[in-house]
Amino acid sequence: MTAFLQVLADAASQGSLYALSALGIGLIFGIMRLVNFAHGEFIMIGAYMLMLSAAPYVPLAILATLAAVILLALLTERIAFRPVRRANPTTLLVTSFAVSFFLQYLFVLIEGARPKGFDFLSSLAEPFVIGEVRVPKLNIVTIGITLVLLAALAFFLKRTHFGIQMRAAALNFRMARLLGVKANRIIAVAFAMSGVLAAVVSVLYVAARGELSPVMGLQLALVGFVSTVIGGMGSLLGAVVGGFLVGALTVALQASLPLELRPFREAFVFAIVIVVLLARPRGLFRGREARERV
Amino acid sequence: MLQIAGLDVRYGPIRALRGVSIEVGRGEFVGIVGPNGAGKSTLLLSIVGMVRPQSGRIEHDGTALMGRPPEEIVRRGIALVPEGREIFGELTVEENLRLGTTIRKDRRAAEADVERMMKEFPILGERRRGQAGKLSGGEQQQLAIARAMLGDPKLLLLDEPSLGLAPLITKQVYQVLKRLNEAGVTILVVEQNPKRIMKAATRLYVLRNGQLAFSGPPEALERAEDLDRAYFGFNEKARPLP
Ligand SMILES: Nc1ncnc2c1ncn2[C@@H]1O[C@H](COP(=O)(O)OP(=O)(O)OP(=O)(O)O)[C@@H](O)[C@H]1O
Ligand SMILES: [Mg+2]
Repeated sequence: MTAFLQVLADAASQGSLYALSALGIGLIFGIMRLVNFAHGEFIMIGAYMLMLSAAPYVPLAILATLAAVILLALLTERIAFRPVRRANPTTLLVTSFAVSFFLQYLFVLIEGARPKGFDFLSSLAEPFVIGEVRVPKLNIVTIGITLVLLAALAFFLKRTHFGIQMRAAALNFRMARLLGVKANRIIAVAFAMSGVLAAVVSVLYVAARGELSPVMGLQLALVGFVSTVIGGMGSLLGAVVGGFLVGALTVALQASLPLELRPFREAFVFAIVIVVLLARPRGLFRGREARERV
Repeated sequence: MLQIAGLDVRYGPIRALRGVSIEVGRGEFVGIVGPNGAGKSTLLLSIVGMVRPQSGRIEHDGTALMGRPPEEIVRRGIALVPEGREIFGELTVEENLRLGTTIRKDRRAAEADVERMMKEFPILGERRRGQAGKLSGGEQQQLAIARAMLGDPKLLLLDEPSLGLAPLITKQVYQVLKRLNEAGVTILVVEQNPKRIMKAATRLYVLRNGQLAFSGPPEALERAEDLDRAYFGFNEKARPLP
């Protein structure tokens, strides 16, 4: 029982990071039908920004990271994605890969390819003890922040006029524009929001791993993408659930695989994902919706 | 209010509109009829900036509309109820109506209008928290019109509002349009089936193969054979089949 609760807490915090990454990717996909692989680089650059600004005062560094990643997301949209907005999906995808690689190699050039150790908020590694279960404080912070962000996003999308406009744009952008919804503004706000999500992951990820590298975003973007696919492309709830599922799966495999197989954990995760998609090609959430409609 | 001159629209090799000129005056109720593929939807989409014409002129109160994005054109007081209604099926009825107020500056007045609209169309009030996609076709058409009206347009464009509706429901929809017109809204309706629109409109155009085939008062088309001639082009000497 204790061991199970321990794994559960790990899964929830790992799943939180994946869910936030998936949400950042899912948000942009929902509105633009663009899989933004550069989302991983948003996270990576946020981590470097955090390292560069961490010295004097941590809250300020976190704010600087948020501001930098939001700005980066907005610039990426403006410079790279807006000119190809009306192009076919393949062009969008290629552009997204190009931006992702460009930013990655830019940071290899500036910072070098090797991972750098960065001791950030290491006091949060101390456990919080409930009975026999010892949960690192960071895990609780991670889960808490994720829940707050999810609640805030749900409130924004459901209750504010701008949020309703955004959902309408995701469902039918042409009709939304006919009602006066401003395409440029909706897309810019969506990118800013994905920037916030990415920056939060930067902070939490660095605090958890204690290191950063130019390729650190790759895995997060990939997992985020896979989670949105599992949840059903275009469903934000699906992206979140997908993220938590992949997180739980990763931690469960970590705990149960024999030691010599653990390095191949991700291969097992993706194999299971493939099986899920064979059974439900449109993802867990979309699949159900489609069946209801028929 | 609206002047269109020499409008040409191509989709690749397809010439959807060829030199179309129409005019809509303030307070008019104008109908455009034409068979499948005549270019009716293309014409309306060109007005609102969703389709980019190759050449021609579209003017609204003396301002050229061509090249402006739809979100700017609707802010000038032109609303389109598109073919197939295009309500947001996954959103609630109320959210759909709220979206209609997107261009309104006075939020409080807009909210009050949403409530008023739900009284005016009681079915929408009853189903306000229900998914819009679950409404029947006629109810969805009412929602689409109510949503368009919440932007407070001076010119309302409708693309085949009777599509897929039973005659009785169509009649109700046209009663709504008539009421709006009497309240001062200028209306331009496109229909494939000329029956209803011939009664409602004060002026009629017939569009065929991307070109205007007739324009004038509906009475001029009252004799069935006149309509057939304009609509199907039977005036061209029927060529015997080989
Ligand atoms: N997006 C598009 N791409 C290519 N061709 C198109 C497109 N939209 C319309 N067309 C073509 O342009 C012509 C005019 O189409 P349009 O939809 O304007 O006709 P319509 O009068 O509205 O017909 P309907 O009564 O069937 O709605 C048709 O030949 C149609 O096939
Ligand atoms: Mg049409």
